[in-house]
Order: sequence, then C-alpha cells, then structure tokens
Amino acid sequence: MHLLAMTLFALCVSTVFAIVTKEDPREQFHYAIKAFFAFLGIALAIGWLMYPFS
Amino acid sequence: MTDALTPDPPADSLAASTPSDPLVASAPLPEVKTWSPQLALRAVLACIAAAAIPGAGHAVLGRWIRAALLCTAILGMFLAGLFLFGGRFYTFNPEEPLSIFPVIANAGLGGLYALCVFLHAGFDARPEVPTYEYGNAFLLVAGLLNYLVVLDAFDIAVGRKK
Repeated sequence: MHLLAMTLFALCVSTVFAIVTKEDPREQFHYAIKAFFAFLGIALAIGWLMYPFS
Repeated sequence: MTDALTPDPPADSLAASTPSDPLVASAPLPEVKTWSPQLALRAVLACIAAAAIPGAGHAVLGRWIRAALLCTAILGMFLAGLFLFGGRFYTFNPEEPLSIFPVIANAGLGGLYALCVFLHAGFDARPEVPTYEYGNAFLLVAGLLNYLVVLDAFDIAVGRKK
C-alpha cells in the first residue's frame, strides 16, 4: 500500500509539473519521466538512509 | 582622448558579432499581447473553468490533451485520497489560526471542494483506515496542484505560454 501510494503520488505530481513547466510535448514527456523516477528514487534513498536510525 | 585613439569597429563586424551573442541569439522576444475585453474575458473564463473542474480551463482554451491529462491526474489524486486512502478535508479551527493553511490548500480543488462541502462528504475523520494520513496528503497536494493549473490556464489565455 505504501509503495502504491508513493507511485501514484509521483505519477500524478510529475504529470502536472511537466505540463505546467514545459511547453513542447517532447520536453514534457522527458520531464515527466525524469521527475517520476526522481520522486521514487529519492524517496527510496531517503528511506534506506533513515533505516539504520529506526 | 582615448575615444579618439580607439578606432571604431567596422560596421560589418558589428553586424556579424551581434547574432553570434548566445544570449541574444537564444532568447526569443516575448510575444506582447495588448489587453482587450475579449482577452480579459477569455482569461477569466479559463480561470473559472479551471477552478471549477481540474483541466477544464485548458479545455476551454482548446488544449484537449493537456486538459485530459490534468483532469486525470488531479481527479485521480482527489478520488484516491478520499476513497482509496480514507483522507479527509481540513476544517478551520479559530483556536489554531495556522489551520487556515491546509484549508486553503484543500480549497484549491475548487468545484470538487465546493461539491464536498455541499454534500458534507470527506469531512469526517476515519481513524480506522490506517492510510488516512496519505489520503490527507493526497487531498492537500491535489488542491495545490490545481492552483498551479489555474495559473497555467491564465498564462495560456493571455499568451505568455503556448
């Protein structure tokens, strides 16, 4: 459920950010992909960094 | 005195150097639209539509694909936050003035928020749902994203963006 929530959140937010910040459809697509994986990757990285202190 | 000693650059060298300036060459001049009643009406209509239904402002302006994507993303966050994760909308508590900020964020959903206020849906806490905090976050972010979408529709309507 946690991963589903994070993935859904990343998908929706990266879609809106791409449409709002870029004009060209190709740029929008690339930005959405990058933002989506950045959301997921950074969240997973921070999660693993916090793991030893939990 | 130095001006007199320094030779003027030839005219053709000036003409050749200006376009090669990367700042000048890469920065297109912004299209300036003069305000007219039609333009103002178009902008107001787009903003009202975007605030009423996510993505409707872009649909009014003829950006159908963007409108569909924005509507799917924001409506998806709203529905997931409310029904899948069991979130709720925040209410203003006068004893805690800072509670106005999440209310403002929720209110960004515009028409959807007004519909929920009218039906009094989504205002009751559901602590039995373990993911209710995710739902709250989804509802907050959906409202904030819709503010961005309204501003984007305004920019398109007045010609600042294609």
